[in-house]
Amino acid sequence: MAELITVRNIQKTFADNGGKISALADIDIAVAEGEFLVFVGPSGSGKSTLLRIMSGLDQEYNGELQYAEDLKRSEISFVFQQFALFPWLTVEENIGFGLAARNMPEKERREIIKKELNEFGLESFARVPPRDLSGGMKQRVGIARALATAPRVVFMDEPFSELDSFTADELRKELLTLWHARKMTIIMVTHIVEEAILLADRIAVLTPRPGRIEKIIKNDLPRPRVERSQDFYDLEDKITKIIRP
Amino acid sequence: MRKAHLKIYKSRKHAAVTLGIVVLPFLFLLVFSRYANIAAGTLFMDIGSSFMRLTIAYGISVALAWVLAVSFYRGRRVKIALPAFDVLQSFPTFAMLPLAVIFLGRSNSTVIFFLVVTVMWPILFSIISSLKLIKREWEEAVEISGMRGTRYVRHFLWPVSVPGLITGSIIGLGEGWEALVATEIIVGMPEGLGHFFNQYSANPEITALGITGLLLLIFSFNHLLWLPLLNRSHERMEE
Repeated sequence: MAELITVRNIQKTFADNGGKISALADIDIAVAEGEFLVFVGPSGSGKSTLLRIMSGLDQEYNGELQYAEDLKRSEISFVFQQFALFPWLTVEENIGFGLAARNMPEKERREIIKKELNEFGLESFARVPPRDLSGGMKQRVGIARALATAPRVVFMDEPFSELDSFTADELRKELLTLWHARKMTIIMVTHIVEEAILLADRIAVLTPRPGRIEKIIKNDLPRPRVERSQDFYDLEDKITKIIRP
Repeated sequence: MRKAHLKIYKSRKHAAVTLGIVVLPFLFLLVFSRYANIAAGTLFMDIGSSFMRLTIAYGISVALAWVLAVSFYRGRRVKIALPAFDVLQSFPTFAMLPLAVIFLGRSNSTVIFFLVVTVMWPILFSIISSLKLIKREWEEAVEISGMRGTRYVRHFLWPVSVPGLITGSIIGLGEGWEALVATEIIVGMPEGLGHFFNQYSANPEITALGITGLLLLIFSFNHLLWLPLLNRSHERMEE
């Protein structure tokens, strides 16, 4: 498959008390179209920073970030860890935010919003402000907002870490269904090894600060993946040993 | 995107009680004008003139404060702008009054100019405070959406700045009423609340009743408009 995003020798440093802290070092990876890539690593490994660099949100870094020639900025979307919903807008207005930004005609926008509301089971919450939703529902809105613009690439920054385990499980399954149906590329970061194994085609394991890609593991476990299988446990052990040797 | 709700009252009862509070000062002023043997028309004309000056000054202040706040709330400019605003707002404005009278005369413009330099600062600083509370993730969500220009202002900057605008308006208008009467007296305006208080300054009873009427008017206005707006705007920002 064609490479959609390539990063070469990405380095990122932060200023700290007059000195410099290296957050990321020597990051090299290429992401193929349609792939589900997960960066997994402990706190402080620079996962979120890397995601922001790759998505174009952070432009202060050294190294090279390259998008495929036909990939437009408007085809990139982002799902945030703490949802980042706009509290002054209703659920439907939040979902339609990216569409409004693209100056899409009202009728077309309404149709897309309706479709996303149905897809995510949010119909009865359309006119409700985000504050009246549970964490799981909020993240549903966050994902619906990211997908409403029909992106080719979706970046996800620990999207399920703020949710209880049952809701997170449910949303992971929904996400996989959507990924298959919409054939998008997903680049996600998580600190949960099981989550990475459940979702990813490839898992890039990051070391603690400065974050480096210690190993890229191709995840060949057949889908749908069974968490209690021996192969799953073996892969989990392998990744955990890389993170905590 | 749909237009934002203007629903600032919790219930019909809330609206009715608020309206009742608003009627109160007008009744008071009518009774007061009879008691003090002042033509009600003259009294309401004085109140109307002052109210008009304050309203115009408030409109100018909001426009100026909002533009300055969104232009200077972040980036390198904020390091220069904020201390500069701080110095300007602490400047004793009444010290400039004689100069303003020379340039603008004993006119509405002088009063309005003074009201603007009084009302503007609390609004400016409150809006800046609101804008500084913008979460990084909100900005990133906006950036990734590609929203720019007037849409960015309408759908993002404006709603985020509203709570600060309302808080600042309450403080600014409070200071504005205070400055209004003093400025009208100093400038010697032929009509307005300053003129009224100046005229009856030798009569403590009428002055006291006049102050009570003015307080009732300000109180009712706060209850009719500002407090419901304040509650609504903060509620809208709850996550």
